Amino acid sequence: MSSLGTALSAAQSALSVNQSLIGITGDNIANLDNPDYARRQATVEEMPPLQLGQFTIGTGVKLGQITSMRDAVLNLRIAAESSDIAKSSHFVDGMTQVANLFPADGSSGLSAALDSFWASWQGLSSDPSSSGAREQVFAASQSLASAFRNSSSALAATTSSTAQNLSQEVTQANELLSRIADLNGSAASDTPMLRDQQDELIGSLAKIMDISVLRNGGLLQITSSSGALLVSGISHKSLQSNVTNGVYGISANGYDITSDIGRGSIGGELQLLNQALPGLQSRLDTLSTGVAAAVNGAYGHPFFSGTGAASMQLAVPDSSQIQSGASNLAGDNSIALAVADLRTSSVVSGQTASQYHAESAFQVGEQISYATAQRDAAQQMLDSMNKQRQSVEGVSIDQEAANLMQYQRAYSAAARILTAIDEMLRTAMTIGASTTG
Amino acid sequence: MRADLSLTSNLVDAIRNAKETQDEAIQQLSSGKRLRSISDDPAAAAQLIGLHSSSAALDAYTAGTATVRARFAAADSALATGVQLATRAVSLAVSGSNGTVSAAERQSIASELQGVQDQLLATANSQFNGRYLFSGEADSSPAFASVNGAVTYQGSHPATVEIADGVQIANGQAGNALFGSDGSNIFDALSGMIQSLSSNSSPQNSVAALQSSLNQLITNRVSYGSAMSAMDDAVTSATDSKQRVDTEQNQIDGADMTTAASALTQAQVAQSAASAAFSKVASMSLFDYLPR
Repeated sequence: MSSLGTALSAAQSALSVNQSLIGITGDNIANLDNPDYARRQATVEEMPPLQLGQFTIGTGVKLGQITSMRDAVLNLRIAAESSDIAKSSHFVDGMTQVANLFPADGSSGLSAALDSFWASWQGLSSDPSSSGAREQVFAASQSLASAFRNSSSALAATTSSTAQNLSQEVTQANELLSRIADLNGSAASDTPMLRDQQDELIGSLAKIMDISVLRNGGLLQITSSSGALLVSGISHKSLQSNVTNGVYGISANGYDITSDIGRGSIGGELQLLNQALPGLQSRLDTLSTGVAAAVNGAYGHPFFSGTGAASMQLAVPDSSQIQSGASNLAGDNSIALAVADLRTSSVVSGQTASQYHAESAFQVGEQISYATAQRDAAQQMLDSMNKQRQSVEGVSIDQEAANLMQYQRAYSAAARILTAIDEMLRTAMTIGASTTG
Repeated sequence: MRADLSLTSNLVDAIRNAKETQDEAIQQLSSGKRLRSISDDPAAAAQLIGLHSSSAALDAYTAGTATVRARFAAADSALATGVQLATRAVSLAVSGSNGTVSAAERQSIASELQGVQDQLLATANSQFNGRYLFSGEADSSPAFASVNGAVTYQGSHPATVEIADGVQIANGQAGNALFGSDGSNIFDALSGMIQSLSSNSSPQNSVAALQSSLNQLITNRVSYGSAMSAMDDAVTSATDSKQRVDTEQNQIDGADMTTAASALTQAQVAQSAASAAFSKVASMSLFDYLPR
């Protein structure tokens, strides 16, 4: 009897273990499309055997440990690569808005406005007493001033939308830091589910800023790239964006960590806000000031007013007041000729206005093309690492199908044993009945 | 998914790449241009900005020179009339100097000369587009005015115009360079002659003065012809330069249509192949073979 009972409980344990295994397979299949889910796998262990005299009798099987298949080092590298991609792509997005100010063939925008401006003065110099030529100068001058103002306001718009993104991303980073700290608090043990959640949070945070992650069992410690503590145990720092004299920065509980953030979307936004956009604005102002000063000098009176691209205005109220010459003679074209000649003069930093503007276009194009190349290279790295990660963590539907078949067979076999033992017990009971009866 | 996912994600990448290539090719084919943005080729974009600027300047020179040339042509034709009138005056003066001419004939020559003088003054005050051609910069008022019987120059020196980068020419000649300075101009010579003839004396002295004025007019008129030919040269040269700029722009920014068209076809084929493979892979699973 005792050995039949042992066999019965062994078969029962096999049934329940295989049920659990099928359950895990079900979980894996259910999370087929969940990118943060790492494939789970269970180990099975033999139950302690019974010692009956000189015989050792097995008592069945039990579930060992359920583990997630993951490569922690690979995941950190993936997070770092995502930081790079986020930085470059945010930078590229911002600069692409700005690039619209520089049409690739120079046929519109500020460079075309400059071209038309010089051409209109050239026209007036050939026909100084023509009111039509005067009107053209007036219109071209207004267009030039407005092209400077529009370029400046487009830069300002990009700056303000980038600053807005920055503060949104800081808010999001704070939320992620607080969730990581919360998980640290609630983590009773290091379970696969906890790891999945932590990996997801780290991945999201890495896209926002570059971080260092230190794992101690189920607990995560997050620091900035140079080691400023952001999450330790259940406490986390609160990040804040600030702007001082036009320079944007990030602080953690008041401690400045701006120089720590070189990557992630915040890294890209800081590069835009502190370097690329102000650099371009200053070149635009230099150009507008250079052109205005040269034109005003040649004109002899204020022709353009304003103190930079944003405030540039035509100071002459109407076309009839545009002077072509210094004297009051109708055919005097000396001023028109002098202004038209500025086209080929070094009016900005030893360059002509057109050369200076073309150099700005080159710089913007080069920055975009460099960041795009960086982004694409990082994306390729990430793609290949993601494939590598998928081969470790990813659920293969074929493998799960094979496992399912295996567990199903094992379950049927255990059930078959149960039926056999049942029949044997019934037989044994029949023997007892006929003997007593 | 594991192995299966990387398969499908490879195919998704392939389809995305094919679409990007198609977009680029279609853009190139429709615009005929290679660069979509300055970031496609920053150095080329900077060059294109410079070329566009050169092109605009060449257009401005061509248009401006055409305006100046039209004015010069009008001036030259007015001067041709002036030369005819002055020549006629000289021949009238010569016949008036003849000792056999009667007083009545001198009177009639004098009145004809008066007509010539009036026409010559009108010619010297010729206008083009409402502007006096021979007044120099003071072209809103007539070049010469008759004050108390003396015709004097009212204008100024001519302006300078630029017909090509760095090439400046005088915007015509001042009226006093063409018709003579105050006190010794062609009108004074004619007046002296008319006076002599009216008082029935031989205008011997005035003939020489008139002849010299005519010579001055003829000599100075030549500058209009040479300026117009300089302008024609400048326009030809600007047209050539513009052609070179166009060629250069096209070399930098022109799309290679053949390459773009074949890239488009290739990308379309690649996309449909990847799509077909996708539908096959997506339906592949061991589950299809499990007993039901």
